[in-house]
Amino acid sequence: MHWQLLLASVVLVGGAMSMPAVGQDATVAAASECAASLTIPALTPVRLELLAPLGSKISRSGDSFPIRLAEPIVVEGVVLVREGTTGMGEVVHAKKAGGSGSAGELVLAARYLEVCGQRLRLRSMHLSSNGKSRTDTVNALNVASAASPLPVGLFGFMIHGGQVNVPQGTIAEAKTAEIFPPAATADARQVP
Amino acid sequence: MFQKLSIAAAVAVTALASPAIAQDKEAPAPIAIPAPPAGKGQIVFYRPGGMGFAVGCSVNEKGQKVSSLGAGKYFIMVTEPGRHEFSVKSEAKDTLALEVEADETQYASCKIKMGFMVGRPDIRPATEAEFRKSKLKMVDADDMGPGEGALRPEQVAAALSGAPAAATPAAAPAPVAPASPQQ
Repeated sequence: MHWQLLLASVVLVGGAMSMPAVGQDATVAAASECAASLTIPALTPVRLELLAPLGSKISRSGDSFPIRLAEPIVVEGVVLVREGTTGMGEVVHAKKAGGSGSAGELVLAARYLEVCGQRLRLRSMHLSSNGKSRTDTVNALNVASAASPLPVGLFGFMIHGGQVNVPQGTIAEAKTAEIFPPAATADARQVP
Repeated sequence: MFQKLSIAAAVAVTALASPAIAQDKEAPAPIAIPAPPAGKGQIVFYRPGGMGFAVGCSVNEKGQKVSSLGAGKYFIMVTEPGRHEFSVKSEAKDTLALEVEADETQYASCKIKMGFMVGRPDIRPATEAEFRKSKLKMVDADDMGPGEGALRPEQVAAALSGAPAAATPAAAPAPVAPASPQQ
């Protein structure tokens, strides 16, 4: 019993001692993130995680969707933006799959990450995709219909292409659109 | 004797000519797409051959014709970065919005799908790999829109050769001519 109490107190003391250390690390990271002593160059590659399911059937052009930084942005060995930093993306174009074999379409864009109360603008998230097109199947059916006494080609209107589905948690590559923080851009302009 | 000599000569000529014929049958050189001018983006619109060759696929933006797009043709449109919405119309209208990025090239294709009376053009995002699969020729300058937009063949040639382009309805492309991978 005595040993158990002693062990428990050691664990408690150890935990209490180590907690501030973890907090200090976090503070250091936060300070480095917002101190702006280092800048993030434009076109720095970033890995993003999509936090909502998207698709040609469920999304609409102009919809916004949440994103999260999947890997920290590190410049000269310093973590400037931590993993998990959130932001927004936008559905640029969404079209449901339709008749005559036309496939669903989805064009997405990453817009920004919220960093130190400012928006770090993003670009170049190439996550555009199409569903499976069946227009060639429909066209082949029409050719066959020409040789047939029955109007089988009309069935082509009922053949739909495939939808595009982008599940939640999808990882996408993008780039930073500008030097960050923007104040650094102004400083850079002043330097002859 | 004369006949034998003639046959031998004909065989020799054929043997000499065959490499040239073989060269003619080789795959054509891949289409060179110039890089967009600095700070601008570009979209390559193309239409693979196939069904509906008689149906037009005229690409428009904000009601202005950018270019016609016949079967087996392509054109390059240089434009400002940002969201752009394009439309094609015959029996029915189809639209496509793309996010144009500075210094990048994107691709879009137009296919003709089945319609009630005539085929319906279907415009959609595409990739460079899909573009490279098709055997294509550039749209004739006569078929391009009157305003800014599609690069004329001479502008593309000038951009690829690094020479300054002539008076341009669109912005002159950068004088760098690498194959343009999607960045």
